[in-house]
Amino acid sequence: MKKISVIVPIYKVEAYLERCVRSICCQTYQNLEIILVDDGSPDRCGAICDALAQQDARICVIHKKNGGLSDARNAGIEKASGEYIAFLDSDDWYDVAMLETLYRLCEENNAEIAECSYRNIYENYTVAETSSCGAVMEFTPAQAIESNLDWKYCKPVAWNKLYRADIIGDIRYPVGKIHEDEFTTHLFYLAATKIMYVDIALVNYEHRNLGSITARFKPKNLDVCEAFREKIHLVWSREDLRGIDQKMCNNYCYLLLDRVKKCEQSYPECDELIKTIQDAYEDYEELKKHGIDPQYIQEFDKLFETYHMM
Amino acid sequence: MNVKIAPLQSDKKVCIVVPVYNAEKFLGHALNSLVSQTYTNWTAILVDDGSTDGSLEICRQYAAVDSRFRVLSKENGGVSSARNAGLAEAEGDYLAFLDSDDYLAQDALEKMVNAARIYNSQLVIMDIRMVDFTKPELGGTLLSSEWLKESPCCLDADAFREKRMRLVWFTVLMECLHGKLYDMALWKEQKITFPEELSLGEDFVANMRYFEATNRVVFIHECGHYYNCIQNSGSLAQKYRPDLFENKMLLMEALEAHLGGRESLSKPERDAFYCYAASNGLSAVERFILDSGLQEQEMHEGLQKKFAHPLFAEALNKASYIPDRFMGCMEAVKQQDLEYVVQYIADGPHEKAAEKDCVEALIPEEPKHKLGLLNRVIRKLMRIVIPLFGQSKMAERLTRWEYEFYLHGLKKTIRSHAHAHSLVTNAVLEEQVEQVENQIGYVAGRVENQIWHVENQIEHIGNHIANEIAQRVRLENQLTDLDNRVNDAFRQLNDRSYSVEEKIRISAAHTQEMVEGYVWRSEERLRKENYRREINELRQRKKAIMIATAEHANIGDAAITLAEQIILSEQFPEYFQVEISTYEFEQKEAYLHAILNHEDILFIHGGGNLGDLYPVEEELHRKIVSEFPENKIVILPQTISFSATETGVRERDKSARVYNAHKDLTLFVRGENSLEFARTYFNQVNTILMPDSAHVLRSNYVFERNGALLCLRADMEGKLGGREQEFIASVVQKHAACVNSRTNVHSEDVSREIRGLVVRRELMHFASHQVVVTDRLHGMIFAAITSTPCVVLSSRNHKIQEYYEAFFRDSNAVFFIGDDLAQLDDAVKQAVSVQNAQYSVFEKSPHSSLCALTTDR
Repeated sequence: MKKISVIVPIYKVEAYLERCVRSICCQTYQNLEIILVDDGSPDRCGAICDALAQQDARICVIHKKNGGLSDARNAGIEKASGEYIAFLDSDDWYDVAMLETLYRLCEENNAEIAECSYRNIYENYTVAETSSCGAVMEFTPAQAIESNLDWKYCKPVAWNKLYRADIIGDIRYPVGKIHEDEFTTHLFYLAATKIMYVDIALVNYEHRNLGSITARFKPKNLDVCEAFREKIHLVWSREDLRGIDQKMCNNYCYLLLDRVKKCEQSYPECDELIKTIQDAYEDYEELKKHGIDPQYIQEFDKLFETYHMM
Repeated sequence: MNVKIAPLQSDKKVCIVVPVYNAEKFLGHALNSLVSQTYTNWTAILVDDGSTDGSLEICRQYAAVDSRFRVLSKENGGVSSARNAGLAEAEGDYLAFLDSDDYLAQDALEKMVNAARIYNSQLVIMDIRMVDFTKPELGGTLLSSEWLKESPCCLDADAFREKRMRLVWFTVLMECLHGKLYDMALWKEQKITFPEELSLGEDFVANMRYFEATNRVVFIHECGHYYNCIQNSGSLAQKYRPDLFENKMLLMEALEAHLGGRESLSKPERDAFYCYAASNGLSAVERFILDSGLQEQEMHEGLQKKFAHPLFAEALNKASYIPDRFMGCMEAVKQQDLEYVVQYIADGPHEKAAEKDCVEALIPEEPKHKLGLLNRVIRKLMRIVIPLFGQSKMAERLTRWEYEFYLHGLKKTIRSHAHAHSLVTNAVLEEQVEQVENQIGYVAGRVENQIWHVENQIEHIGNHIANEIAQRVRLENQLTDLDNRVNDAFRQLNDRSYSVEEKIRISAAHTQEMVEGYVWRSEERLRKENYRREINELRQRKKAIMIATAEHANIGDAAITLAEQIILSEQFPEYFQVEISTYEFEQKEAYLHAILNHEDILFIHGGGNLGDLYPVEEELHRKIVSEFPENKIVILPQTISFSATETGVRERDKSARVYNAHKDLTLFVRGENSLEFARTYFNQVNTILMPDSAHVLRSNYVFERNGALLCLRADMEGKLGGREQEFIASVVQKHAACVNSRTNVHSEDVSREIRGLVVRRELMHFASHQVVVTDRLHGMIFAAITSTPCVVLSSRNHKIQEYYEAFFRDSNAVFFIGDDLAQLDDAVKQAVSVQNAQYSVFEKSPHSSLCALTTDR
């Protein structure tokens, strides 16, 4: 029975925090270290963490100055002492068998990462992300990254996975960026040799603030383009990822054109937008070499012309 | 905070039987909902009933991941055979069922096991939500036991039996196996299996057998089971079966047998049974009409047979409630007007279609000549309109089905009449029948009339609705338009908020500048005006102007200034006092010139500052004396000290020139040396010997005296080094309980506002010690005015010695030892022993003559 460290970054989640922590405490897998990272939350979260820690000796609380989700997860990684690590966001929660199932998948298959499906929780109803057919699948890093791109099975999120601690190494979440998982998930995959996936929903993912002001598009959302750009550069530099370069490039093109369009609607000519388009322009020749869809080429030409780059 | 860290777990094992048949689309969710149960002590038996899709594969995959699943595979034999196969293998304490396209709430098992344990109950029933899983956002319908009010509600066997039929009828939860927890031992003991020959209600039949045996039942009004009511799913339950009606009636008969025959039931139970049977039969009839696809002739025959079913007929006749959608054709059923019934049900209570027809009919361009269509439309309209005008009794009373009901009621009355009066003669009977028929005719005529009236009204309302609809469409368009504009505006607002904020910031800064400027100007104007008024006022008055008063940190000087104020107000009561301190002089020079008139007397602050030791002060003295030649000037008690150096001589001569030139200058000095000096060099000046002004502060202090106080100079006038001071302290220590130390200098400048406070506090300090050792002039004076015995050392100039000689020589409480520290020990010893301090200088009040002396000349 190896120890699993579960890292929970916490910021303004008063209403959800207890449900989240309770779901970890009552896991059927009991050898845990539960690290609650209070990211300078201005509400009562800090006090709730301390009260919970009183009731379960496996809980330890880090109170820190606010630094964002990435910073909080990184602080948790530094503190973690388990042989496995899992991340759970504080408005989500696990099913009781989550950690046991993924732990057994890792151990029995000698895999470094195990991953499961999840449920989307909306205000009045629930939708399972997949058909939850119970299938167990084995992926190589390249296959897992491809699966991310297809949005099938493996997902580019941190909280549906169990990681063996030794593969984390010096991989950290990018402080100050959003879409932090897009920056890191593939790095974790590449540090592993084998990824196991089970098609059973064991995590509940809360969808909050739909339609609220925080859900609107902001220039910060262009971070995801940066993340994808890092990914395509990585793919171009690695022999073993040669097979997925075209898909990755097409994905990047789709994402970039979509986000640029959204950004133009609300924040035309903001610095982030110009930077994103300039980045794309730098990669444009290389992208064309990797066989992106002619439709994207057309749209890019139009885009670059509008911004006086061609 | 009360956090439940772990959900209930126990050693009671729940066995869940899951029949699986061609359900690959939703089976994963069903099995996943078991894996996710917060109650973990369960096993599930998955019975694949010969599925032809991937269902079995999914079962095996789950079993591979989670050992709590067992998979049985058998040839297809129907859901009952699958359940029976599962039951045969079932083990554990509790039994539950789950269908392969439904799923459980995450905490369903936990709640049910908990309730079963708490109430020691053999049956737990939770609510069921019927959801279309492909459209979960619609929410679905909740089947609930809330008729029972309490939750959880525990009924023991008798209470349950009493309410059994109403529970069936009102909660809709009793027929199925879903959302229930059964006691495995009881189930096995009763040897309950599912009758495989039944294609309908096999679960109800099994339930009824179980109900007979259970000790009690617990209802929990929380949703524990989600039932997939997806439309057009090809599952068996939705398909039309020609024997549906007959099966339902068999089921009703079985139910009746279970209840012990309808005659034995209480009235409400019996009514519930009739309602239940009627509505079940009617819905089967409805399916027959809509789905059987038979020709008219065959359909009518079929219907006739069904309506003739004795149980159904009786139920229809006696039920207190018939589902709304069948109300309109009940009279036609009685009349055997099957054509109408078929037509009525085929038209259906499909509100949506009716609405559509209405809208079509109400579009003004469409000619409304098709009477049949209009009639149908009106009927459907009424269905929509009546709820709208739900409060209006008129519209309600006059619906067509109510009319039919009315007729039906009358006929019933006649029949019962006829029966009751069977002995009455035919003639009377006929007469009565005729009478009643006349009545009916009359009422019918009136009702027809009213219906015509209402139909007119409805047409009106229809037009009105058409207008409303048109208006609503317009409004909706406008709303969409507005919505778009709001979105646009929001975007623009977002874009512009920054620049607007910037503008606001700039304009706010600008405004603030303007306001500040304006405030400053107004204040300035006010200040000037006050200043002018003050000057005018002051110019008119006789004034005693104190110049060069002290506002620095030296408490001795502060005490002199305070004393001078007291003396002036005593001696010159008719003069208005104005004070201009050394600090202020430069700033207030013009002011002084402005307020001055020739009656005013200028008093120059006294102390030890006449001489070249404080050149700035001396320069100020000279300036005042030279600038105001017309006014009387008084220099308050001073010690003169010019050094014997070249500079000292030069300064002395300069002062002498100025002072001698003034025609009305009086100089008070504090010692013989100063007196002699002044008479030698300032020979044109009226010079008079006078003790220090601070003497007027003498007062009777009653503090408890304790220890010694060292008050030694640390400034340029002092000459004791650190080593000497340490020596002094060590000597004094021998004679005093404690030794405190003060420099007579305040920690900050003593402004006129705090002057009184600081001086009094200092005096209190002196008055609370037994003996004072000092080289300060005012250390000695403070000691004297607080009657504290005092040992005096000399300082760098002759000031303190001169003063001692002039005023304290004859006192028994002042011991002057000069530089001779060898005498210190002795002097302190004497001083401590002084009982009654006496000072001749205080016997006369020297300052009382000040006024006379000043004005004498």
